[in-house]
Amino acid sequence: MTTREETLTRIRQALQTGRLPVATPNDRPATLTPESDRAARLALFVREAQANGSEVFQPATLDDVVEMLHELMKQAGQQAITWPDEDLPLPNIREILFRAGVTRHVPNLPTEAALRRQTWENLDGIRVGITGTLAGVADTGSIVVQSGRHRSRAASLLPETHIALLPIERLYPSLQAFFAAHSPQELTQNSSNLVFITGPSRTADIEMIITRGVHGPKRLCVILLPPVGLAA
Amino acid sequence: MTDTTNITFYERVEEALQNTQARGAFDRATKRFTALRATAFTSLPAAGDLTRDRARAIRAETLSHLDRYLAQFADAVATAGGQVHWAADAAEANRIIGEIAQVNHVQRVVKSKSMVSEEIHLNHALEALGCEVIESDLGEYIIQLAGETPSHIITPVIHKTKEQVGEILRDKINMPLTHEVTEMTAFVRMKMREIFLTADMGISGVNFGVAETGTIVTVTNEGNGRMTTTCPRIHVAVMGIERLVPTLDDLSVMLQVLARSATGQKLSVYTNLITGPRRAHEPDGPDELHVVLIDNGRSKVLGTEVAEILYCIRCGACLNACPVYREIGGHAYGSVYPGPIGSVVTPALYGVALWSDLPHASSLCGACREVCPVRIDLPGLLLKLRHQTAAAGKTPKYLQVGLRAFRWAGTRPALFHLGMKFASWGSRLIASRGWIKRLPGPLSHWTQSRDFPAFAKESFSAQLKKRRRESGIEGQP
Repeated sequence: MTTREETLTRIRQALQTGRLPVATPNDRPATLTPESDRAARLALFVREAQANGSEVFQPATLDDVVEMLHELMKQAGQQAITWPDEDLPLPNIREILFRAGVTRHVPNLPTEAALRRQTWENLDGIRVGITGTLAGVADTGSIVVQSGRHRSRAASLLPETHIALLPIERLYPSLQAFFAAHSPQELTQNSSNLVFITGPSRTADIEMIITRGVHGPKRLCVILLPPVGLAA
Repeated sequence: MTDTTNITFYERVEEALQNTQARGAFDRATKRFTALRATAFTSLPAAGDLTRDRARAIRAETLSHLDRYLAQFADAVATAGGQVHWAADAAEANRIIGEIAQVNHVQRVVKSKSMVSEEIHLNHALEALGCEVIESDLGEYIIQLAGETPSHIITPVIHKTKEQVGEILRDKINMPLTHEVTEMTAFVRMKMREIFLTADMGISGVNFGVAETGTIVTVTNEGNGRMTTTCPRIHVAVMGIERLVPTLDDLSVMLQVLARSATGQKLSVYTNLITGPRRAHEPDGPDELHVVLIDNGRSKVLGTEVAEILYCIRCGACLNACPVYREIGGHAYGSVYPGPIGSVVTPALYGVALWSDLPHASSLCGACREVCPVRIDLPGLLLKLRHQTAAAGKTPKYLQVGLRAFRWAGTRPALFHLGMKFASWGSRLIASRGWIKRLPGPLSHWTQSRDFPAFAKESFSAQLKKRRRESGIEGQP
């Protein structure tokens, strides 16, 4: 017998005698967070995201976006690890990033060990990452970032500042609402990584003093995009 | 897992109680966590009661059909391109992981926090093969540099002051001495970044495995979990076989209670879902994913009357709530798993014969059961283990003798009342302002770390008799 079969056999035998109580039998439906209208959902997201240390921007025009990115990039150098155009949810993103003076890096890691290491080290010096988002979760103030074709994990992880573009219509009231709206296949089949990001990297390991930017980004900037699109 | 020293539990407790600085730190941290937890649950309907019921039901369902869910999970991991390994015990797990390291010529291993890897002493096993193993969680890293063991499941270095941490970082990695936590964090970030980007293998724990998709979930605040599972070419995830949930929807319920219970956050900063290794079209991530399923006694526990302990999701809330843990901290338990959960898990996994003291390290006040996100009846399980220790003849001598004496006197009313009178009179004789600083003879153990109140002048039954007499109610109570 293999270890797999042996383990499963041991478990089946144990289940004959083990005591596995459910104190309060509960068949209530899984949706436990009340539904909310779109405005309330947006307000809740903004409040929760700010509470967890994210910076939330709500630009009114395309020029606002350009100006904001320009400002953020000026502080952090002109280089950015980004996702490709089709995964950044703004129609004229190429032009916007160009006008904001961003030099883009869309990485692709080689499998060969030495080359892989070299690529990581090159990316490590870049101080801004720009990504899209699959969704936002209002009651936790989280953004959902999914890896995929040209969508690197690095962009939301390595740099000190992570800028995430989030269209307002992708906001869900809760984690459960998010999972209810997406099939397991679309979340996991062609993508190895789905991450719920709830604020900038933090620790409280030393004397419970909260400090930002331990291993991941120190700053998380969420740019909310209105459903009607931005005025030119 | 087992403590290699021969020091008894009571000697470790004595030692812990001498360390007033650490006691203060435990007290502050646990009270703060407890308050944060309570606040975090207020944002859920019915203060989270329904969600906790649901979380418990999910764990009960999973464990009741563990064979099915485990097989489904293993198949789904393989379908997603991951390699599944089964380990019956610690030795087999260490051998499997050691082989993965050797086949791939791994020199440098970076780890994100994993309780099960500490349970099986994985670091020692890999170091014996010549690998360099570095913990990446800030607290675990400091503990590793200091050559110590964690004192808390969630915040392993809670027993140290920032001044002590500053000295460790100066002595071990040449950081200029500072007492500023932000400076320490920035220095470790820089140091650790180089390690992440050059490590050959990343080893992570697993908070949950999702049976329907083969997804593994790691939860961290620092981001070390993401770095460990993204940068190195090989990712090895180690998990106990009980850590499953059936579906992603079930996962969302568990996530609602995990972070709230652990740190009082609504969600940890990085809740990271990994399904298989990097796909061919993805720009980064590990090329290989290995999932090591570790039994190491769990299937044995599943067949017992304390099987419920396997519902545990390792949040640490019961540690923070426990008045005993608050006083003695994590090291005194002598096990990788401290606190109420550890007092059940440790003897359950490794036998009450070796760990007969731990089920007694509780006042059975029930605070742990109150806060448990999956409502484990911890006091009930502790009592069951106490029965087992008694049945195995492991009750401490002084308790056996003491209880026998009490039974003898207690069933002889005249003698009992006379004894009470003497105790009352004697206790007031040696008390000062109603408190006794040192009890005589074998009772002196009690007053080593706390005072004992003097008996009341009149016993309860004497007072009751008097009141009844005065109010004209006659007869026996």
